[in-house]
Amino acid sequence: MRSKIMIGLAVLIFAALNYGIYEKEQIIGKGEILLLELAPVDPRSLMQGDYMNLRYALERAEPVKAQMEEQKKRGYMVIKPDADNVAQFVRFHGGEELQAGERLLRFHKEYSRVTIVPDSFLFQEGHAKFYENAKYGVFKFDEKDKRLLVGLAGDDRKIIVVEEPEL
Amino acid sequence: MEQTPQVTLADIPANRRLVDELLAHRKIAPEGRDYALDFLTPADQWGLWISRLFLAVGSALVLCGVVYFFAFNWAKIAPLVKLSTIQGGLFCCLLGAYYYKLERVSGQVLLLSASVLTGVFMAVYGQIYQTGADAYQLFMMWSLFIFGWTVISNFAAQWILWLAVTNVFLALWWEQAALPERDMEALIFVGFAALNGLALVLREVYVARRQAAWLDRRWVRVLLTIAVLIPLATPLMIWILDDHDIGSSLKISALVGLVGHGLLYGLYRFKFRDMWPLAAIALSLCIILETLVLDFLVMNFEDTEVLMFGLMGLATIAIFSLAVLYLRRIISVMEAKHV
Repeated sequence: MRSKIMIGLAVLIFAALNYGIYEKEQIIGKGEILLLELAPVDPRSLMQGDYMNLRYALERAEPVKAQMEEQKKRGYMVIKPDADNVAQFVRFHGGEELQAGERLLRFHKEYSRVTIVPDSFLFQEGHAKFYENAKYGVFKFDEKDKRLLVGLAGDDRKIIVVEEPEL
Repeated sequence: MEQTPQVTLADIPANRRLVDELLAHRKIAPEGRDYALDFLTPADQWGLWISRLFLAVGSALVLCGVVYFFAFNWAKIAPLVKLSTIQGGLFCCLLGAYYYKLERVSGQVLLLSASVLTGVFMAVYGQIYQTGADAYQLFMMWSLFIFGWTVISNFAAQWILWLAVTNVFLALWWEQAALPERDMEALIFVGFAALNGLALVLREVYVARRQAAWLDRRWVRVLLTIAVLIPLATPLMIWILDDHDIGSSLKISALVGLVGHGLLYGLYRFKFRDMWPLAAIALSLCIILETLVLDFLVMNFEDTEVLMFGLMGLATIAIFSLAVLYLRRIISVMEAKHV
Protein backbone atom coordinates (compact mmCIF):
# COMPACT_ATOMS: atom_id res chain seq x y z
CA MET A 1 0.00 0.00 0.00
CA ARG A 2 2.71 2.46 1.01
CA SER A 3 4.65 1.60 -2.13
CA LYS A 4 1.60 2.38 -4.23
CA ILE A 5 1.13 5.74 -2.54
CA MET A 6 4.82 6.42 -3.13
CA ILE A 7 4.48 5.68 -6.85
CA GLY A 8 1.28 7.75 -7.07
CA LEU A 9 3.05 10.72 -5.48
CA ALA A 10 6.01 10.15 -7.79
CA VAL A 11 3.76 10.41 -10.86
CA LEU A 12 2.38 13.73 -9.57
CA ILE A 13 5.87 15.05 -8.83
CA PHE A 14 7.22 14.03 -12.23
CA ALA A 15 4.24 15.70 -13.88
CA ALA A 16 4.83 18.91 -11.90
CA LEU A 17 8.58 18.97 -12.59
CA ASN A 18 8.16 18.41 -16.31
CA TYR A 19 5.35 20.91 -16.59
CA GLY A 20 7.77 23.40 -15.05
CA ILE A 21 10.33 22.63 -17.76
CA TYR A 22 7.67 22.86 -20.49
CA GLU A 23 6.45 26.23 -19.20
CA LYS A 24 9.91 27.79 -19.24
CA GLU A 25 10.83 26.26 -22.60
CA GLN A 26 7.74 27.92 -24.05
CA ILE A 27 9.08 31.30 -22.94
CA ILE A 28 12.49 30.55 -24.43
CA GLY A 29 11.02 29.21 -27.65
CA LYS A 30 8.28 31.73 -28.32
CA GLY A 31 9.22 34.68 -26.14
CA GLU A 32 10.42 38.05 -27.38
CA ILE A 33 13.92 39.28 -26.62
CA LEU A 34 14.45 42.48 -24.69
CA LEU A 35 17.74 43.91 -23.44
CA LEU A 36 18.30 45.53 -20.07
CA GLU A 37 21.35 47.73 -19.78
CA LEU A 38 23.66 46.75 -16.93
CA ALA A 39 25.24 49.21 -14.56
CA PRO A 40 28.97 48.71 -13.93
CA VAL A 41 29.46 46.45 -10.59
CA ASP A 42 31.44 37.49 -7.33
CA PRO A 43 30.07 35.37 -4.80
CA ARG A 44 28.83 31.74 -4.84
CA SER A 45 25.49 30.02 -4.36
CA LEU A 46 25.55 26.94 -2.12
CA MET A 47 23.89 24.47 -4.45
CA GLN A 48 24.14 26.37 -7.72
CA GLY A 49 27.76 27.38 -8.29
CA ASP A 50 29.21 30.74 -9.32
CA TYR A 51 27.12 33.76 -10.05
CA MET A 52 27.46 37.43 -10.79
CA ASN A 53 25.49 40.17 -9.08
CA LEU A 54 23.67 42.33 -11.58
CA ARG A 55 22.83 46.00 -11.29
CA TYR A 56 20.66 47.45 -13.99
CA ALA A 57 20.97 50.97 -15.33
CA LEU A 58 17.19 51.25 -15.01
CA GLU A 59 17.47 51.08 -11.23
CA ARG A 60 19.35 54.37 -11.32
CA ALA A 61 17.15 56.14 -13.85
CA GLU A 62 16.04 59.55 -12.62
CA PRO A 63 12.25 58.90 -12.77
CA VAL A 64 12.73 55.65 -10.80
CA LYS A 65 14.61 57.48 -8.06
CA ALA A 66 12.00 60.22 -8.00
CA GLN A 67 8.99 57.92 -7.69
CA MET A 68 10.32 55.06 -5.56
CA GLU A 69 9.40 56.58 -2.22
CA GLU A 70 5.70 55.71 -2.53
CA GLN A 71 6.35 52.15 -3.82
CA LYS A 72 5.80 48.97 -1.82
CA LYS A 73 8.59 46.51 -0.97
CA ARG A 74 7.67 44.25 -3.89
CA GLY A 75 6.15 45.41 -7.15
CA TYR A 76 6.33 45.81 -10.91
CA MET A 77 7.57 48.55 -13.15
CA VAL A 78 6.46 49.15 -16.72
CA ILE A 79 9.15 49.25 -19.40
CA LYS A 80 9.19 49.74 -23.14
CA PRO A 81 11.90 48.84 -25.67
CA ASP A 82 13.60 51.67 -27.56
CA ALA A 83 14.83 51.50 -31.15
CA ASP A 84 17.75 49.26 -30.12
CA ASN A 85 15.43 46.91 -28.21
CA VAL A 86 16.85 48.17 -24.91
CA ALA A 87 14.29 48.58 -22.14
CA GLN A 88 13.42 52.09 -20.96
CA PHE A 89 11.49 52.95 -17.81
CA VAL A 90 7.90 54.13 -18.36
CA ARG A 91 6.25 54.14 -14.93
CA PHE A 92 5.64 52.04 -11.84
CA HIS A 93 2.81 49.58 -12.35
CA GLY A 94 -0.41 50.08 -10.43
CA GLY A 95 -2.44 47.22 -11.85
CA GLU A 96 -3.57 49.04 -14.99
CA GLU A 97 -3.80 47.53 -18.51
CA LEU A 98 -0.57 47.72 -20.49
CA GLN A 99 -0.22 49.59 -23.79
CA ALA A 100 1.14 47.78 -26.83
CA GLY A 101 4.86 47.04 -26.49
CA GLU A 102 4.93 47.61 -22.76
CA ARG A 103 6.34 44.97 -20.45
CA LEU A 104 6.48 44.38 -16.71
CA LEU A 105 9.61 43.90 -14.63
CA ARG A 106 9.54 42.76 -11.03
CA PHE A 107 11.48 44.74 -8.45
CA HIS A 108 12.29 44.60 -4.74
CA LYS A 109 12.66 47.75 -2.71
CA GLU A 110 14.97 47.66 0.28
CA TYR A 111 15.72 50.75 2.33
CA SER A 112 16.39 53.32 -0.37
CA ARG A 113 17.24 51.10 -3.31
CA VAL A 114 15.21 49.47 -6.04
CA THR A 115 16.50 46.10 -7.26
CA ILE A 116 15.16 44.55 -10.43
CA VAL A 117 15.03 40.75 -10.20
CA PRO A 118 16.65 38.48 -11.21
CA ASP A 119 19.56 40.40 -9.77
CA SER A 120 22.09 37.64 -10.35
CA PHE A 121 23.29 35.56 -13.25
CA LEU A 122 24.45 31.98 -12.68
CA PHE A 123 27.18 30.37 -14.75
CA GLN A 124 29.71 27.54 -14.67
CA GLU A 125 32.37 27.82 -12.01
CA GLY A 126 35.36 29.77 -13.34
CA HIS A 127 33.49 31.30 -16.27
CA ALA A 128 33.35 34.75 -14.70
CA LYS A 129 36.01 36.05 -17.12
CA PHE A 130 33.69 35.55 -20.10
CA TYR A 131 31.02 37.75 -18.58
CA GLU A 132 33.20 40.54 -17.19
CA ASN A 133 32.45 42.95 -19.99
CA ALA A 134 28.75 42.22 -20.27
CA LYS A 135 26.74 45.29 -21.07
CA TYR A 136 23.19 43.97 -21.24
CA GLY A 137 21.01 41.38 -19.55
CA VAL A 138 19.08 39.44 -22.18
CA PHE A 139 15.47 38.74 -21.21
CA LYS A 140 12.74 36.79 -22.91
CA PHE A 141 9.11 37.73 -22.38
CA ASP A 142 6.10 35.67 -23.34
CA GLU A 143 2.69 37.10 -24.13
CA LYS A 144 1.53 36.66 -20.54
CA ASP A 145 4.49 38.73 -19.39
CA LYS A 146 6.36 35.89 -17.79
CA ARG A 147 10.06 36.61 -18.04
CA LEU A 148 13.36 34.78 -18.02
CA LEU A 149 16.92 36.03 -17.91
CA VAL A 150 18.44 33.89 -20.66
CA GLY A 151 21.94 35.33 -20.83
CA LEU A 152 24.19 38.37 -20.89
CA ALA A 153 25.22 40.35 -23.97
CA GLY A 154 28.23 42.52 -24.81
CA ASP A 155 28.41 45.86 -26.60
CA ASP A 156 27.30 44.24 -29.86
CA ARG A 157 24.00 43.23 -28.19
CA LYS A 158 24.68 39.56 -29.07
CA ILE A 159 24.23 36.99 -26.32
CA ILE A 160 27.57 35.80 -24.93
CA VAL A 161 28.22 32.16 -25.80
CA VAL A 162 31.12 30.57 -23.94
CA GLU A 163 33.38 28.63 -26.28
CA GLU A 164 36.06 26.81 -24.42
CA PRO A 165 38.89 25.06 -26.26
CA GLU A 166 38.49 21.28 -26.34
CA LEU A 167 40.72 19.55 -23.86
CA MET B 1 18.99 4.12 48.01
CA GLU B 2 15.50 5.31 47.26
CA GLN B 3 13.28 2.35 46.42
CA THR B 4 9.86 2.62 44.85
CA PRO B 5 7.73 -0.39 45.72
CA GLN B 6 5.88 -0.55 42.37
CA VAL B 7 8.96 -1.39 40.32
CA THR B 8 8.40 -4.51 38.26
CA LEU B 9 10.95 -6.55 36.37
CA ALA B 10 9.79 -5.01 33.09
CA ASP B 11 10.80 -1.54 34.32
CA ILE B 12 14.42 -2.50 34.83
CA PRO B 13 16.47 -2.11 31.69
CA ALA B 14 18.57 -5.15 30.92
CA ASN B 15 22.08 -4.12 29.94
CA ARG B 16 25.69 -5.12 30.24
CA ARG B 17 26.12 -3.28 33.52
CA LEU B 18 23.20 -5.08 35.14
CA VAL B 19 24.56 -8.45 34.06
CA ASP B 20 28.03 -7.57 35.39
CA GLU B 21 26.56 -6.51 38.71
CA LEU B 22 24.59 -9.72 39.00
CA LEU B 23 27.83 -11.63 38.44
CA ALA B 24 29.68 -9.46 40.95
CA HIS B 25 27.04 -10.23 43.55
CA ARG B 26 27.30 -13.91 42.62
CA LYS B 27 23.68 -14.10 41.58
CA ILE B 28 24.66 -15.72 38.28
CA ALA B 29 27.53 -17.94 37.15
CA PRO B 30 30.15 -16.78 34.59
CA GLU B 31 28.47 -19.06 32.02
CA GLY B 32 25.19 -17.34 32.79
CA ARG B 33 26.83 -13.99 32.21
CA ASP B 34 28.18 -15.08 28.82
CA TYR B 35 24.80 -16.43 27.84
CA ALA B 36 23.02 -13.25 28.95
CA LEU B 37 25.44 -11.00 27.10
CA ASP B 38 25.15 -13.08 23.95
CA PHE B 39 21.39 -12.75 24.27
CA LEU B 40 21.52 -8.98 24.83
CA THR B 41 24.01 -8.25 22.07
CA PRO B 42 24.20 -11.15 19.61
CA ALA B 43 27.55 -11.62 17.91
CA ASP B 44 26.15 -10.88 14.46
CA GLN B 45 24.78 -7.53 15.58
CA TRP B 46 27.96 -5.69 14.70
CA GLY B 47 27.63 -6.95 11.12
CA LEU B 48 24.20 -5.35 10.88
CA TRP B 49 25.56 -2.21 12.47
CA ILE B 50 28.46 -1.89 10.08
CA SER B 51 26.31 -2.63 7.05
CA ARG B 52 23.90 0.13 8.10
CA LEU B 53 26.85 2.46 8.68
CA PHE B 54 28.25 1.78 5.21
CA LEU B 55 24.80 2.21 3.67
CA ALA B 56 24.36 5.59 5.35
CA VAL B 57 27.88 6.90 4.65
CA GLY B 58 27.90 5.53 1.10
CA SER B 59 24.54 7.08 0.19
CA ALA B 60 25.51 10.39 1.78
CA LEU B 61 28.78 10.52 -0.20
CA VAL B 62 27.13 9.61 -3.50
CA LEU B 63 24.43 12.25 -2.96
CA CYS B 64 27.07 14.86 -2.08
CA GLY B 65 28.87 13.97 -5.30
CA VAL B 66 25.67 14.46 -7.30
CA VAL B 67 24.97 17.80 -5.58
CA TYR B 68 28.46 19.15 -6.24
CA PHE B 69 28.50 17.88 -9.81
CA PHE B 70 25.41 19.91 -10.64
CA ALA B 71 26.49 22.87 -8.51
CA PHE B 72 29.39 23.33 -10.93
CA ASN B 73 26.81 24.39 -13.54
CA TRP B 74 28.49 22.74 -16.55
CA ALA B 75 28.05 24.99 -19.55
CA LYS B 76 28.73 22.12 -21.95
CA ILE B 77 25.86 19.95 -20.79
CA ALA B 78 22.63 21.03 -22.45
CA PRO B 79 19.97 22.18 -19.95
CA LEU B 80 17.47 19.51 -20.89
CA VAL B 81 20.12 16.81 -20.61
CA LYS B 82 20.88 17.94 -17.05
CA LEU B 83 17.23 17.97 -16.07
CA SER B 84 16.50 14.56 -17.61
CA THR B 85 19.59 13.03 -16.03
CA ILE B 86 18.36 14.08 -12.59
CA GLN B 87 14.88 12.78 -13.36
CA GLY B 88 16.45 9.53 -14.49
CA GLY B 89 18.24 9.24 -11.15
CA LEU B 90 15.03 10.09 -9.35
CA PHE B 91 13.22 7.40 -11.29
CA CYS B 92 15.88 4.78 -10.51
CA CYS B 93 15.77 5.60 -6.79
CA LEU B 94 12.00 5.20 -6.75
CA LEU B 95 12.19 1.97 -8.70
CA GLY B 96 14.69 0.68 -6.15
CA ALA B 97 12.51 1.82 -3.27
CA TYR B 98 9.55 0.01 -4.82
CA TYR B 99 11.59 -3.12 -5.35
CA TYR B 100 13.15 -3.22 -1.88
CA LYS B 101 9.91 -2.05 -0.18
CA LEU B 102 9.66 0.72 2.34
CA GLU B 103 9.75 -1.76 5.22
CA ARG B 104 13.48 -2.25 4.63
CA VAL B 105 16.21 0.27 5.33
CA SER B 106 17.52 -0.03 1.77
CA GLY B 107 14.12 1.00 0.39
CA GLN B 108 13.87 3.87 2.84
CA VAL B 109 17.35 5.13 1.99
CA LEU B 110 16.46 5.04 -1.71
CA LEU B 111 13.32 7.08 -1.04
CA LEU B 112 15.46 9.52 0.94
CA SER B 113 17.85 9.76 -2.01
CA ALA B 114 14.90 10.43 -4.32
CA SER B 115 13.87 13.25 -1.98
CA VAL B 116 17.36 14.77 -2.09
CA LEU B 117 17.42 14.46 -5.90
CA THR B 118 14.12 16.36 -6.01
CA GLY B 119 15.96 19.23 -4.33
CA VAL B 120 18.86 18.91 -6.78
CA PHE B 121 16.32 19.16 -9.59
CA MET B 122 14.84 22.31 -8.09
CA ALA B 123 18.32 23.86 -7.75
CA VAL B 124 19.31 23.05 -11.34
CA TYR B 125 15.93 24.26 -12.57
CA GLY B 126 16.60 27.59 -10.87
CA GLN B 127 20.11 27.61 -12.39
CA ILE B 128 18.78 27.19 -15.93
CA TYR B 129 15.61 29.26 -15.83
CA GLN B 130 16.62 32.48 -14.13
CA THR B 131 13.35 34.20 -13.34
CA GLY B 132 14.38 36.12 -10.25
CA ALA B 133 11.94 34.04 -8.24
CA ASP B 134 12.73 34.25 -4.54
CA ALA B 135 14.79 31.37 -3.16
CA TYR B 136 12.11 30.55 -0.61
CA GLN B 137 9.92 29.26 -3.45
CA LEU B 138 12.53 26.63 -4.30
CA PHE B 139 12.54 25.31 -0.74
CA MET B 140 8.76 25.60 -0.46
CA MET B 141 8.26 23.44 -3.54
CA TRP B 142 10.92 21.00 -2.36
CA SER B 143 9.27 20.72 1.04
CA LEU B 144 5.80 20.24 -0.52
CA PHE B 145 6.96 17.71 -3.10
CA ILE B 146 8.62 15.39 -0.59
CA PHE B 147 6.05 15.80 2.19
CA GLY B 148 3.85 12.93 0.94
CA TRP B 149 6.81 10.56 0.71
CA THR B 150 7.92 11.65 4.16
CA VAL B 151 4.55 10.86 5.69
CA ILE B 152 4.53 7.30 4.33
CA SER B 153 8.26 6.65 4.78
CA ASN B 154 8.24 5.64 8.48
CA PHE B 155 11.88 6.67 8.43
CA ALA B 156 13.41 9.08 10.92
CA ALA B 157 16.15 10.37 8.59
CA GLN B 158 13.53 11.24 5.97
CA TRP B 159 11.67 13.34 8.53
CA ILE B 160 14.87 15.08 9.56
CA LEU B 161 15.58 15.96 5.91
CA TRP B 162 12.04 17.30 5.50
CA LEU B 163 12.33 19.31 8.70
CA ALA B 164 15.67 20.77 7.62
CA VAL B 165 14.26 21.80 4.23
CA THR B 166 11.21 23.30 5.91
CA ASN B 167 13.37 25.25 8.36
CA VAL B 168 15.30 26.77 5.46
CA PHE B 169 12.00 27.56 3.75
CA LEU B 170 10.73 29.28 6.90
CA ALA B 171 13.88 31.39 7.21
CA LEU B 172 13.87 32.48 3.56
CA TRP B 173 10.11 33.03 3.51
CA TRP B 174 10.35 35.29 6.53
CA GLU B 175 13.07 37.32 4.91
CA GLN B 176 11.77 37.42 1.33
CA ALA B 177 7.98 37.17 1.46
CA ALA B 178 6.74 38.01 4.94
CA LEU B 179 8.92 41.13 4.86
CA PRO B 180 8.70 41.85 8.58
CA GLU B 181 9.18 45.31 9.99
CA ARG B 182 12.49 45.84 11.75
CA ASP B 183 10.82 45.56 15.12
CA MET B 184 9.25 42.20 14.28
CA GLU B 185 12.28 40.51 12.69
CA ALA B 186 13.27 38.44 15.72
CA LEU B 187 9.92 36.65 15.90
CA ILE B 188 11.41 34.16 13.45
CA PHE B 189 13.14 32.50 16.43
CA VAL B 190 9.74 31.72 17.91
CA GLY B 191 8.80 30.28 14.51
CA PHE B 192 11.79 27.92 14.44
CA ALA B 193 11.24 26.88 18.05
CA ALA B 194 7.55 26.21 17.37
CA LEU B 195 8.20 24.17 14.21
CA ASN B 196 10.97 22.05 15.68
CA GLY B 197 9.22 21.90 19.05
CA LEU B 198 6.10 20.53 17.36
CA ALA B 199 8.23 17.84 15.72
CA LEU B 200 9.79 16.97 19.09
CA VAL B 201 6.43 16.81 20.87
CA LEU B 202 4.91 14.63 18.12
CA ARG B 203 7.92 12.34 18.35
CA GLU B 204 7.51 11.94 22.11
CA VAL B 205 3.73 11.42 21.87
CA TYR B 206 3.94 8.76 19.16
CA VAL B 207 6.79 6.93 20.85
CA ALA B 208 5.06 7.04 24.24
CA ARG B 209 1.90 5.62 22.67
CA ARG B 210 4.06 2.97 21.00
CA GLN B 211 2.63 3.90 17.61
CA ALA B 212 5.92 4.58 15.92
CA ALA B 213 8.70 2.20 16.89
CA TRP B 214 10.82 3.58 14.03
CA LEU B 215 10.95 6.94 15.81
CA ASP B 216 12.20 5.40 19.03
CA ARG B 217 15.81 6.33 18.42
CA ARG B 218 17.69 8.40 20.90
CA TRP B 219 19.54 10.41 18.23
CA VAL B 220 16.21 11.68 16.87
CA ARG B 221 15.27 12.99 20.29
CA VAL B 222 18.65 14.65 20.82
CA LEU B 223 18.80 16.14 17.33
CA LEU B 224 15.32 17.61 17.69
CA THR B 225 16.14 18.92 21.18
CA ILE B 226 19.17 20.72 19.76
CA ALA B 227 17.07 22.04 16.86
CA VAL B 228 14.69 23.53 19.43
CA LEU B 229 17.45 24.81 21.74
CA ILE B 230 19.28 26.84 19.09
CA PRO B 231 16.35 29.20 18.32
CA LEU B 232 15.59 29.37 22.04
CA ALA B 233 19.11 30.39 23.06
CA THR B 234 19.96 32.71 20.16
CA PRO B 235 17.59 35.61 21.04
CA LEU B 236 18.82 35.50 24.64
CA MET B 237 22.40 35.80 23.44
CA ILE B 238 21.55 38.64 21.07
CA TRP B 239 19.80 40.46 23.89
CA ILE B 240 22.81 40.09 26.17
CA LEU B 241 25.32 41.27 23.57
CA ASP B 242 23.23 44.03 22.00
CA ASP B 243 22.55 46.60 24.69
CA HIS B 244 20.71 49.16 22.65
CA ASP B 245 18.16 48.78 19.87
CA ILE B 246 16.25 45.87 21.42
CA GLY B 247 12.98 45.39 19.55
CA SER B 248 9.88 44.06 21.22
CA SER B 249 10.01 40.91 19.07
CA LEU B 250 13.45 40.11 20.45
CA LYS B 251 12.16 40.48 23.99
CA ILE B 252 9.28 38.12 23.21
CA SER B 253 11.66 35.61 21.61
CA ALA B 254 14.02 35.82 24.57
CA LEU B 255 11.14 35.23 26.98
CA VAL B 256 10.01 32.26 24.91
CA GLY B 257 13.63 31.11 25.02
CA LEU B 258 13.74 31.15 28.81
CA VAL B 259 10.37 29.45 29.21
CA GLY B 260 11.31 26.93 26.51
CA HIS B 261 14.50 25.94 28.35
CA GLY B 262 12.42 25.40 31.49
CA LEU B 263 9.82 23.30 29.68
CA LEU B 264 12.45 21.11 28.02
CA TYR B 265 14.22 20.65 31.33
CA GLY B 266 10.99 19.60 33.02
CA LEU B 267 10.15 17.25 30.16
CA TYR B 268 13.43 15.31 30.26
CA ARG B 269 14.12 15.61 33.97
CA PHE B 270 10.78 14.37 35.26
CA LYS B 271 8.67 12.96 32.42
CA PHE B 272 10.97 11.05 30.07
CA ARG B 273 14.17 11.07 32.15
CA ASP B 274 16.90 11.14 29.54
CA MET B 275 20.44 12.37 30.15
CA TRP B 276 21.29 13.23 26.53
CA PRO B 277 18.74 16.03 26.07
CA LEU B 278 19.46 17.20 29.62
CA ALA B 279 23.13 17.48 28.74
CA ALA B 280 22.20 19.48 25.63
CA ILE B 281 20.05 21.83 27.72
CA ALA B 282 22.84 22.25 30.25
CA LEU B 283 25.29 23.06 27.43
CA SER B 284 22.89 25.64 26.04
CA LEU B 285 22.55 27.28 29.45
CA CYS B 286 26.35 27.22 29.84
CA ILE B 287 26.73 29.05 26.53
CA ILE B 288 24.17 31.67 27.60
CA LEU B 289 25.97 32.16 30.93
CA GLU B 290 29.29 32.42 29.11
CA THR B 291 27.81 35.14 26.91
CA LEU B 292 26.65 36.98 29.98
CA VAL B 293 30.09 36.79 31.60
CA LEU B 294 31.82 37.76 28.36
CA ASP B 295 29.56 40.78 27.96
CA PHE B 296 30.24 41.85 31.54
CA LEU B 297 34.01 41.42 31.19
CA VAL B 298 34.20 43.23 27.86
CA MET B 299 32.32 46.15 29.37
CA ASN B 300 34.54 46.42 32.44
CA PHE B 301 38.00 45.31 31.32
CA GLU B 302 38.14 46.76 27.85
CA ASP B 303 41.68 48.13 28.31
CA THR B 304 43.24 45.12 30.02
CA GLU B 305 42.65 42.27 27.63
CA VAL B 306 45.02 39.93 29.42
CA LEU B 307 42.99 40.23 32.60
CA MET B 308 39.76 39.95 30.68
CA PHE B 309 40.64 36.69 28.93
CA GLY B 310 42.22 35.33 32.11
CA LEU B 311 39.01 35.90 34.03
CA MET B 312 37.04 34.52 31.10
CA GLY B 313 39.05 31.29 31.27
CA LEU B 314 38.43 30.96 34.98
CA ALA B 315 34.73 31.66 34.55
CA THR B 316 34.54 29.05 31.79
CA ILE B 317 36.14 26.42 33.98
CA ALA B 318 33.76 27.29 36.81
CA ILE B 319 30.61 27.28 34.69
CA PHE B 320 31.33 23.99 32.95
CA SER B 321 32.50 22.30 36.15
CA LEU B 322 29.25 23.27 37.84
CA ALA B 323 27.27 21.95 34.89
CA VAL B 324 29.12 18.63 34.93
CA LEU B 325 28.75 18.30 38.71
CA TYR B 326 25.05 19.00 38.41
CA LEU B 327 24.59 16.50 35.58
CA ARG B 328 26.45 13.81 37.54
CA ARG B 329 24.21 14.42 40.52
CA ILE B 330 21.11 14.10 38.33
CA ILE B 331 22.42 10.83 36.86
CA SER B 332 22.69 9.23 40.28
CA VAL B 333 19.28 10.51 41.37
CA MET B 334 17.62 9.29 38.19
CA GLU B 335 19.32 5.90 38.33
CA ALA B 336 18.24 5.50 41.93
CA LYS B 337 14.67 6.11 40.81
CA HIS B 338 15.05 3.67 37.96
CA VAL B 339 16.44 0.55 39.55
